Amino acid sequence: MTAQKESNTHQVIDMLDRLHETPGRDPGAAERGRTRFLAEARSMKKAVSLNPFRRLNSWIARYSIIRHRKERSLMFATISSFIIALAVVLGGSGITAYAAQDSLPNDWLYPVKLYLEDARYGLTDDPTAQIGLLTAFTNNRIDEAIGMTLQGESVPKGVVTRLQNNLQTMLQLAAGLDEDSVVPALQRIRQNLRTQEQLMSRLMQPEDLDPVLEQLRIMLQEQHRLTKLGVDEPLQFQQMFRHGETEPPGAPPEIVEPKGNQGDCTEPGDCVPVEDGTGPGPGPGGNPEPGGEEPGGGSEGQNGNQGEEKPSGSGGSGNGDEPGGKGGENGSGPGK
Amino acid sequence: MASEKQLIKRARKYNQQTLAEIYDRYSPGIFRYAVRLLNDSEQAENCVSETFSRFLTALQRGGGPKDHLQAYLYRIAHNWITDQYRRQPSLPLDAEFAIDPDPEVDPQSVSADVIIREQVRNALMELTPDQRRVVVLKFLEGWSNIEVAEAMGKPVGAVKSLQHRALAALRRFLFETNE
Repeated sequence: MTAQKESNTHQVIDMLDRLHETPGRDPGAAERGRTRFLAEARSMKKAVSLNPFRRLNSWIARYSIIRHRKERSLMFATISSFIIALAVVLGGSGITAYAAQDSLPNDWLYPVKLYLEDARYGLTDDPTAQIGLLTAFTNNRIDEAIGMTLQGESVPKGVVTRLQNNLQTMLQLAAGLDEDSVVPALQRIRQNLRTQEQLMSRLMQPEDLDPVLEQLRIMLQEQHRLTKLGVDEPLQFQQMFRHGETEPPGAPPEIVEPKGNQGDCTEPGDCVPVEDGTGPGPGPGGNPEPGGEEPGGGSEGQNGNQGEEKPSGSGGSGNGDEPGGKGGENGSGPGK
Repeated sequence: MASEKQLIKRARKYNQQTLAEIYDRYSPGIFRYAVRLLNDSEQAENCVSETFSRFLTALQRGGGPKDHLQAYLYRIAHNWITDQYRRQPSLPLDAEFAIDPDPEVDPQSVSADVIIREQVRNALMELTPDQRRVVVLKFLEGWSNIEVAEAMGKPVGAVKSLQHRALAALRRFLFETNE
């Protein structure tokens, strides 16, 4: 490290020190929070029977009632069985979904994550909501690319392809909005792109150089250019898409092949049940099944289970049962 | 003072005294962590509420930490903060702007300090979430590398690597972008 860089680093640490001082905590707010927390804990405790013996033995009484019913209702039994089976399936799938939300392309749960994204996308036909979802999915792809790079792994081709599809679809959806909505939508897309570009730029140093990350960055820049066009000339932007005059943003001429089999999920059937041949990734004509949980966001991906229940999430990381960042709901971890 | 393992064990039984102890012990630190990154006391309190609520939910589902409770709670908080940042990438103006100036304090020095803090906060938000977490836990919360590694669920070597990259990124952003 050069003397100048070393000096700057010391200055950075000195500057960080300035954030040590924080505003005092409002005692009233703190007390209210404490009261809420303890009240929530009390309500959770009440959900369990106060009498442990009653809890242990009450099933016998219930079973006896059912066994000795004079009239047996076939419908009741059928419905009960269905509800129980559904609860088991949904509960189990929910745990999987929760754990998948921060998986990386080299995690075995990654296909579940992609499937759930498609499912979420398929649940809405509102273009504005779809753009919002695609923005979140774009952030996920970039997080995955960064996470893989930090782990010393190559970014799989599937991540790039999916990102490319997302970006293209976002623009198409924006172009299809009414006149009053297209500019605000594009401005939101631009804002998010700017944030993501800045994040990636921080990694694009010689020691971090990765050809695929560079391709992703070019893709984002191209998307940025197109959204700027849309904001400045919305009518021209809309006409471009109506006449199919655009190319997918930042289409890389060559994509680096991933190391080994990392489940790139680009081909139908790789990791997502193909409904209509459009393959993975939400896009026009995608037909995912409904259901699933919100993916998490948050920190870069982590791998492995370190032997404890660990928070992950959106905002999250890892594939334990960490509380979700973006509201992962099911599973053994918390999260809202 | 009870160990974290003992606290967790008692917390699983929803022992009110234990849960109160957990809240009293860790919520101030979570609040400071959140307010440093969010620059908003109200949001920081929301972060604290959400963090402890998710902790309870984890316990209810039979999950939650087996040890390293503090690290677990900080991870929850960090996840929540990262999501907030994604939803609102523009940080609110520094709270000090809203405070009536003290006539005995040189306004120029206060302004410079406020500006620098804002720059540093903005620079922190340019980092990746993991880099940001390492920097805040190490340099602002004063945690050791081992504690940070436990909080992040990463090896110590990875934490050091993240720290190195984070400081390099901050250096570039704070010094090279102003040139």
